[in-house]
Amino acid sequence: MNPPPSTLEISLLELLVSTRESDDPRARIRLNDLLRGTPAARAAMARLLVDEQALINQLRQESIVAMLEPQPRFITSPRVPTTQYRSLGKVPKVTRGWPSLAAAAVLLLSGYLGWRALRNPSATGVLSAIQPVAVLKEDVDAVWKDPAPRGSLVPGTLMLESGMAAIEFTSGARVLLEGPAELELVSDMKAFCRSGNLLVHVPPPAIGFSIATPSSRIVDLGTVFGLSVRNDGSTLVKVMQGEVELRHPREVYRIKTDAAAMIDPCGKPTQVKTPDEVFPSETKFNERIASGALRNAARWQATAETLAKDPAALLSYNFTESHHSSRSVRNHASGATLESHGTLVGVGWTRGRWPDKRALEFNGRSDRLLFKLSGSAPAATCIAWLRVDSLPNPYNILLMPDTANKSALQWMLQKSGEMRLSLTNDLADPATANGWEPPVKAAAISNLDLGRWICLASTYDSSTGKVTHYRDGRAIGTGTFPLGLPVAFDSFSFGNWARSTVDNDVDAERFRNFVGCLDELAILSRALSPDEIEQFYQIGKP
Amino acid sequence: MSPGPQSTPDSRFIEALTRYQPVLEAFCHANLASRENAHDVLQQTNVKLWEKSADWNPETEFLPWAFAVTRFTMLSFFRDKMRDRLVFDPDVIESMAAETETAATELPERQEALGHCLKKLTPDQRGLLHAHYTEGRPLREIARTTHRTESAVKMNLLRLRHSLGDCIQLQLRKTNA
Repeated sequence: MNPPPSTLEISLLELLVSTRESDDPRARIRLNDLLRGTPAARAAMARLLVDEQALINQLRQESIVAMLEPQPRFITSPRVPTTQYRSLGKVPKVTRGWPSLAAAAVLLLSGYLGWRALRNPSATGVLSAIQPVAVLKEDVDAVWKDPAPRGSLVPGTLMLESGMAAIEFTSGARVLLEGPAELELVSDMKAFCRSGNLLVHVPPPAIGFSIATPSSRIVDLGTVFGLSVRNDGSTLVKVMQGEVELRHPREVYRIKTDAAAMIDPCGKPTQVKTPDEVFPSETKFNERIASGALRNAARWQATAETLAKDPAALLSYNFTESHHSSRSVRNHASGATLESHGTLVGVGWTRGRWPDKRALEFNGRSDRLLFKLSGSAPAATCIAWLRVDSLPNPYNILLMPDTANKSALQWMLQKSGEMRLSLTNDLADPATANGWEPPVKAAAISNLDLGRWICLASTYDSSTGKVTHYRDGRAIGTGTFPLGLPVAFDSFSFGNWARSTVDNDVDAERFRNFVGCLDELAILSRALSPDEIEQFYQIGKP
Repeated sequence: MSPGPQSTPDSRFIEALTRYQPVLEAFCHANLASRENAHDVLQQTNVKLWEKSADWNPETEFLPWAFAVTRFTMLSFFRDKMRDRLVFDPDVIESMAAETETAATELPERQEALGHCLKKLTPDQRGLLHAHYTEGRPLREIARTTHRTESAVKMNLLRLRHSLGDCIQLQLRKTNA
């Protein structure tokens, strides 16, 4: 008997997706057998594929139109409703006091191009069409159910098994989460908490921010409140400051400062007395952050020298040795030459990843860090802990070689947030594109990453020509330098044009200075493995 | 002197080739179920159609002739391609011949209907479709970026495709009613 048409379509789609997405040949065999045996399956398959083509055409047309639109769409993005909210019944519509102030602030902070990086699909690897609704600001002792979230967060569920995390919604609402907890981010104004303890701070721009639990929906009217959702769905809520509305399918209750209510699994509230200590607090969070930072700093300190001792390490700057007045930085790599110690031009000192760790701050148009390496190798790795404060130029240099040399590596961040690696060849003048291997790019940062410590790395192996880019220990893109040239190490400038390059041209394209901080930089004459890069990130994360 | 096979194709041929490009693309996609393979075959087919333009009699329909040339191009494509790189076995493609022609010919109406259906989607449903179909991202990667499991993303996609399919049928019925 033939399956009914809808089941047939689902089976076909499922087999098609599995055939495309997995290396397992069984799905392919089953798909072909099904098509051989059933005429209805053949007709359905043909329709599904033609619809798929129609879908591609239609979405492609829409994204072209979207790119031409003059207004950033995420300012007025519609809120995403979810079934959890629908199941709680119809509730009166809440108008936000400050409709788009928070979004406007995000836009101002990020700048026009940060916005473009989020919207332009070709310019970014973040899921450009799914907009971030929040940022994971900090976490401490956090054990996340895999995969651990990092940076900007799109709608989805966060599962914190233990530890604490601060989540800042783009609307301005801040949630302190204490594990074990399960929180679904629905939009920048809505979340659903299945279980866990929370402290919610809602500043004026985010008034109307709401959190649903299995038994209730709490709409904030500009407050600080604590929430504790038990496994049976009952919810304890306490208002520390301001006022919240507790919405039940039939009634609305208001809870004012210092009042607390216990809501049973059916949604019925009872007034109770409960101390603030039941809920997470900013003080507790900050204390844990401070002691966590000390532990992390100690862990990093203990292992910082491991990379420097790697026989392939040509450069290892970790800024643990210098004094405030010092204008040079020490290369900790075991075979360091005199010329490989860095010279600072314009660059200042600032606080690094941890309170007593120092880092370099690049602000001025002429700021740079100069050093010289020597020799050549069949492979290379550039890896750094950075804080990008803005991307003011079309190209923002991380490492700039002396372009008079063949096979010299260049590492940059584009205004779009993409990182790119290239290598000079001797086919043409390096002032022209043909004088470089085609740059390999990967979307590395979005506007929500500005001002945060991130770990960027790029590796190149001439035996395969393969280039891999990493962000925070994870591979984010690969590509190939077709000529497979070895890498020559010579003079470099970090953060600006190389010394040899004329930079007194007034053309805006000529400015390529990096704006941000550098806390650690290493260059190796081999391609580090994905595991080694993950480890570097894990050990160094603040 | 009579014009040879290399002569400039007639304007009616160019007009037909341009007009039916989306249908030919959909036809290749329906046979190969892979954007890359469909793209390659379409390119090769266009070259062949151009070369053979003198064989087409503008008084007859363009599509049946162009479908035949596309099939011919696919045969040489299969010879060069490892079988496991294809989604469908060549005999399956052959058995689907009539269905793929019919479905591809319906592309313009189906796409218009789909346009209405897409308006009903939420931004994240649209985002999922965009990421998977236009940007070509594997579901595994989408799952990672959106903090969901791969099977949850897959299930979402299947449901979404299924409801879009239903919506297209409904729209077509409304239009034809």
